[in-house]
Amino acid sequence: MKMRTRQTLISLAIILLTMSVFLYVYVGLQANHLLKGARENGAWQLQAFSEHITALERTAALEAEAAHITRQALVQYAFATYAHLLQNADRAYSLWADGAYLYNLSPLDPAAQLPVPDKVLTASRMLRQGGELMLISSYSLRVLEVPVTLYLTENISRVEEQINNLVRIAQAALVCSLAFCALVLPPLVRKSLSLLETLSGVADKIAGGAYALRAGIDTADEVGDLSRAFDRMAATVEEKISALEETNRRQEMLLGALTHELKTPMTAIIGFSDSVLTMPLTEAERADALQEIHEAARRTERLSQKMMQLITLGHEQGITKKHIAAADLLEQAARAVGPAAQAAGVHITLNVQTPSLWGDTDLLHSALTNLIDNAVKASQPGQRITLRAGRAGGGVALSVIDEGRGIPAADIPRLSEPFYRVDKARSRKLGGAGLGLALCRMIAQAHGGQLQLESKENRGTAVHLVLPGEEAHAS
Amino acid sequence: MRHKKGLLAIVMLLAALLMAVWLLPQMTNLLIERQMSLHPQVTATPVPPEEPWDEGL
Repeated sequence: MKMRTRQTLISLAIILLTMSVFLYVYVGLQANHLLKGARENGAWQLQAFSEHITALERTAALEAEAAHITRQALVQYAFATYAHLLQNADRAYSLWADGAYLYNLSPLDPAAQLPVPDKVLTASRMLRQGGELMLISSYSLRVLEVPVTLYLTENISRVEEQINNLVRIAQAALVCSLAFCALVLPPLVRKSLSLLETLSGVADKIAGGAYALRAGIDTADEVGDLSRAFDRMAATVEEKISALEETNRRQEMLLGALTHELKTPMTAIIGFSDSVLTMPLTEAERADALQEIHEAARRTERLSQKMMQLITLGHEQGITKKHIAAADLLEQAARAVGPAAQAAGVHITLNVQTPSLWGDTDLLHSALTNLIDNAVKASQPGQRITLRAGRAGGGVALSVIDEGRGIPAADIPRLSEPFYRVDKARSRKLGGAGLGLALCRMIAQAHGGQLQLESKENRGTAVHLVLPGEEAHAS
Repeated sequence: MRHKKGLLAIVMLLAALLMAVWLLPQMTNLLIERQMSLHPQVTATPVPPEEPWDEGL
């Protein structure tokens, strides 16, 4: 069952129950009031009648010893005079004295239907006669020393008709009000739930891939709250999915580039080993082929080591940080690249402006050797490379500054992508795989810092490894 | 199944309405019957005998 149908039916049931209770109570009370009113009216009329009869005592001057029959006759005369005046088709009076009627125009036998015991002043009884509702009321009194009982027989079918009219009005009110509510409620309920349907539609579209879609329902009620929470959730889901897609894209690119990079040394290894195995070579040629195989194997090993480091850092595995003497770190890095620098005729100078820094020695050493190696490859013989450790904001910047050929501005944003190289042929020839800067960027990020690059073509390049201070790590 | 439930609920609501409409006159008939079975009587309160007048006062 749809929610709007359920809401409508529940509302109609509650309205029906409430109206039924109200109408039943109202009609019941009114009916009781009308019936009691008819009884009280009969008693009141008889009492008023008795006032006329008792007035006889004040006007008739009878001797004390007047005969009982004379008194009865006087009472009968007085009763008949007033009864003729007051009775009509629905109302008849009777006078009962000494076990017999002195006057009776009632179609019923009121004394038989309502026998009145001694000492009872008034009494009444309702009964049905020929489909009509009749009321017999009695009033007992003594007039001129004669004990008499006055009876009033009334047709009170009009009261029953009033009650029936009330019932019909209540029935019509019940049916009409429920019919009206049945017509009015469904559109109202549908309107109040339409926002939920909108939300449901948006959820379906998001599930179908439209992650940028938002419900945008900005009402001040619970549906508005739900919509805002839904939109926040959709934004988070969109961010996560975008991040996952980006990660997936990078991994695919990395895998493709790795396959390509592995292919080159493997081709060399297979080619030279084929030559050694199948071709008649001189000792010198054999030695050259083995040297080529050795170089290709070393390049593959370096590649796999860097890939391993990248993957390790990518998984955010813990790094061991400690205080490092900046001068020692720069010297060790310069010494590690020393032979290559000497071979290239490049001079390395140190400029230490800060005594120590906070980081992982091995990772920072690896980053610096990569950066110096790049600088050596970019430099011409006789040029100088400066290694500098200085303050930068609240942290430390390790800079490698060369005077080499520089990098085109268009290539700078993509330099830290894995396997990206400015001059692919030359880089490969020099043994580069395009992973060095990517590794440096990840090392900087693992320390909570960043890699900054400044370069001008034919003027040189400055790469800054900016690391936060110990205080930043503590906070 | 869901439509059956809705239909059943509508039928029950209509049945409740008819029941309420039908029971209303039954209730008033019962009230009238109850009034017919009642025979209310008011007994005259006996007047206490008068104390003899004390001439000495």
